[in-house]
Amino acid sequence: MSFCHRPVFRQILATSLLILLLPLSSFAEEQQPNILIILSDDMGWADTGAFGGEIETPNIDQIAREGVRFVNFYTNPMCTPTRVTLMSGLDHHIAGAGTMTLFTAPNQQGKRGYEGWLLPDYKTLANIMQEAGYNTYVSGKWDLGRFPELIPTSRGFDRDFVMLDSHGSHYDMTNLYTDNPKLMFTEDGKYLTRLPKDYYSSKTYTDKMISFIEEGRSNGKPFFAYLAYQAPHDPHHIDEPWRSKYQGKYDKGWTYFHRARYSKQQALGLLPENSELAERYWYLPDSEVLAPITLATLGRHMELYAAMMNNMDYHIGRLLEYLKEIGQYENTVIIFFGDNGPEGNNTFEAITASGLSNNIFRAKHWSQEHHINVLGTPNSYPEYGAGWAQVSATPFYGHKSFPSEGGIRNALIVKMPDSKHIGGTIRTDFMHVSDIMPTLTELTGQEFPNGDTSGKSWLGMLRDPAQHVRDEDDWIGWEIMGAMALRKGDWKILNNWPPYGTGNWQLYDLKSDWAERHDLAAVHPEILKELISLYENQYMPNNNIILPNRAISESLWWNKPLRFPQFDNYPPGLYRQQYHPPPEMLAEPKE
Amino acid sequence: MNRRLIKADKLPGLFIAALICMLVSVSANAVSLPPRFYHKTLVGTNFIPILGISIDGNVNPLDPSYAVNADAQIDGNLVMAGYARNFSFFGRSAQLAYLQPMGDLSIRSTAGAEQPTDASANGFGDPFFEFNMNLIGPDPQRTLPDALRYNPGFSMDILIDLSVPIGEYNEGEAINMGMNRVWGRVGFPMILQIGDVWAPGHRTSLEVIPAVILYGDNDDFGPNGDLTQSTDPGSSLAMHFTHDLNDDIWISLDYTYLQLGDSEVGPVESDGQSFSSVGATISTQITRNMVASFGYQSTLDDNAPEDIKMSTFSLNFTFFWAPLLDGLHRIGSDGE
Repeated sequence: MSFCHRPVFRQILATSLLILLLPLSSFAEEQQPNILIILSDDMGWADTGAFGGEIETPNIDQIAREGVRFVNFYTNPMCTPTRVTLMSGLDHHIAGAGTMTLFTAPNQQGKRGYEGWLLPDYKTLANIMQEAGYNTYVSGKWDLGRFPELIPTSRGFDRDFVMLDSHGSHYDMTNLYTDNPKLMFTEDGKYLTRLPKDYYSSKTYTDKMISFIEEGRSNGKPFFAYLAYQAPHDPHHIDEPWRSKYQGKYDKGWTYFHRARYSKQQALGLLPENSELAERYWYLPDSEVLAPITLATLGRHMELYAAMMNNMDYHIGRLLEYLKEIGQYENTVIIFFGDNGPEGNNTFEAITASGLSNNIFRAKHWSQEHHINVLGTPNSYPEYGAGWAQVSATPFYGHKSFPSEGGIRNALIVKMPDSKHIGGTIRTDFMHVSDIMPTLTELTGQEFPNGDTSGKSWLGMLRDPAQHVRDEDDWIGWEIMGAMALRKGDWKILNNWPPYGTGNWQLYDLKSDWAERHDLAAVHPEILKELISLYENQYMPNNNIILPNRAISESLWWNKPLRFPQFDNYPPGLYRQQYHPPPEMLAEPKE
Repeated sequence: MNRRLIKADKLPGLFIAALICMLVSVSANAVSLPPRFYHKTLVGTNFIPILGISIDGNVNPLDPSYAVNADAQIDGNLVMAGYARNFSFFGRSAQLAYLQPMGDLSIRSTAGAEQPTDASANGFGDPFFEFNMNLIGPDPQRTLPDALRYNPGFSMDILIDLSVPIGEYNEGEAINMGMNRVWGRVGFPMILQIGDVWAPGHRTSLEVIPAVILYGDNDDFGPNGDLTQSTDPGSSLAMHFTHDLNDDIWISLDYTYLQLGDSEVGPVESDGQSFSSVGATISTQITRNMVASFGYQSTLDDNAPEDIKMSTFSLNFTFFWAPLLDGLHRIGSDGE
């Protein structure tokens, strides 16, 4: 019998090895921080306190104080496109959500890249984090496909509780459509037949995420958590006491708050020098002229929106508190942003317009809209409209579904363990949602798995404040429903369809003109030409852009006045007047 | 202007629908005012209630002491009409109401006689004034937004009632329209909103109205008009559980408990009785400015001859107007 076989020696050896290895093991775990992505839905750039809003968001503001605010961060103009890019690192026209399914044009039907979901060919953020040894969790709005091969458990998530659809009730499974009346949910790979008791989107998504993290702690792995709130997307459902919290707060009207937020943003140092506030939409009145009853009614919609934001922040606070309790807060990278600009289109009104079958569905399930005290309750469908969306998007022009700054620029906050950045720093790096996957692949020592991407890793910048994410030659393009944009350095070209745009390319200098008020196309034709060439010759062919042959703008011509002349000599708004031919071309009928 | 704005412009019209529950009406039972009587509405709103009542029992419904006429049958067809107005008083919501009973009453008594004895009275009863002021609860509704946002939550008022003895009273008559004595009441109406939404189609409330009733003397009482009728203070408790069936109709389950004070008529003293009654009310709006309600109430445990018996059918119409709402209607801005 050798000496080393003696039980006492083996015990001493094992104990010694354990003592030696324990610090190594702990060090390894500490070097792999947890990743928490918090995504809000249809939140405007200015809706958090950290970005100049008056809505109470103390927990998000706390992350901003401890982390870094990025004021030049971009998403895509709509929900599914942004989520597809977030999960794949690819342009949404390549990854499967070239447009929103609801608005697919005839020439896009059946084309690869326009399926309306994240194509299963591509690896997801969850896949690479899973391969890096992370527990992977998702709760919230999925919006990346409803078929079995498309749901979270098929896309790299260990645990999930998600709403598969893009919007609907925050209280139950009520959807918006006659042919699709019920929202679909999955939990851990199973399609739910009903929702948990006391379900409310923000509360339940947070509860589930906390339970996933808690139950996964036993295996010692770090976690990758994707918490995709449905708030503050309409319908603006919110329960008491939140529902009453902001009552009367917005009676001053959208014009007041538009200016108030802009002033606060200036005071916070979020805006460049010589910046301006975007023009008020031409079809909205100055709220100063509105009657008190109208202000109260319109204000109620913003009250509910604010309450939803506040409530979401409260639930974020619960999660952060839990992370502190388990000692993981300091070791967690937190990335917070919204998926696109605020919703100012009153899409529900369009989807359920009179005469459509959805209108009958609305009458049955969504008709509780006759009194402001009912708004926010189940079966009411409050949406706050363009006036408040402009406030949410302060100081930008535009809202969700447009590549104007208000539709695509969003509030990004990143808090990173051992960051070299001073807490509360404001940075102006030109960044995009496609950067997140390259950042996390680099963080975990992997290669980007999905081919070419315009996404750039933030890791260098996050570790070294002297570095920047993009240089002056880097560019990013956007296209949604025929509206187009491209930003290179500080220059941006924009082609919005009328009446929101001119239908022609415009050029803006985003160094100071964040509000896109000064079209410099005629002043700098060479820059305009260069950027249009980039768009047409590089962005479009390399990113599978198929411009729709039927834009939703066509219908807008009939319910909104034009901002721009349709015919010579006719000012905006008079394009439908009687046409007067030249006198020499008048003639009597031939008998 | 976009669709949202247009909808908002129409809201004053919708507001009127919210107003309909806040009607004024009266009950045949003098100490049991109807459900939703103490809900608040826009300052400056005027009301004209007209209440038709058919009663059947053994007490005079206009007599707050409810002296039982044993072996007697009292029938009556009454109307109560009046005026009420909401206003702000020392920063609180308040209401002043005047109600005028009128009609006819008849009594058939069989006690101690081979043939029934009939008597009747008609004309005007004693006018009734009520002042009500909120102590705990929402601020006065000075603007349309205030009115739209009204949620009673828990609210408590103080009410002071006074009946002035100027109605028709004939000494020696078995029954009269006027009571020939002052009486009044001090109470504390309380409303508890049930549920967190207060809007047409969603309103549910529990209302509790405890009150003390005070009586003056009638010095011309009795068959010859030479007796004094005195009554000690009594108390009452009214309760209503109200609920909207839909946007336009609400119902109420009503309960009233009354503890009468000891009374003295000449040398005869008697202990105060107590009784309970239950009933129901249903109400709806019939025009932009008018609501109607129908109710029934009947006493409980009233089989013994000395028990108070009374059943009441009532049909109420309340016309209401507010200058601002009417102005909006005239210029077509109320969505009507």
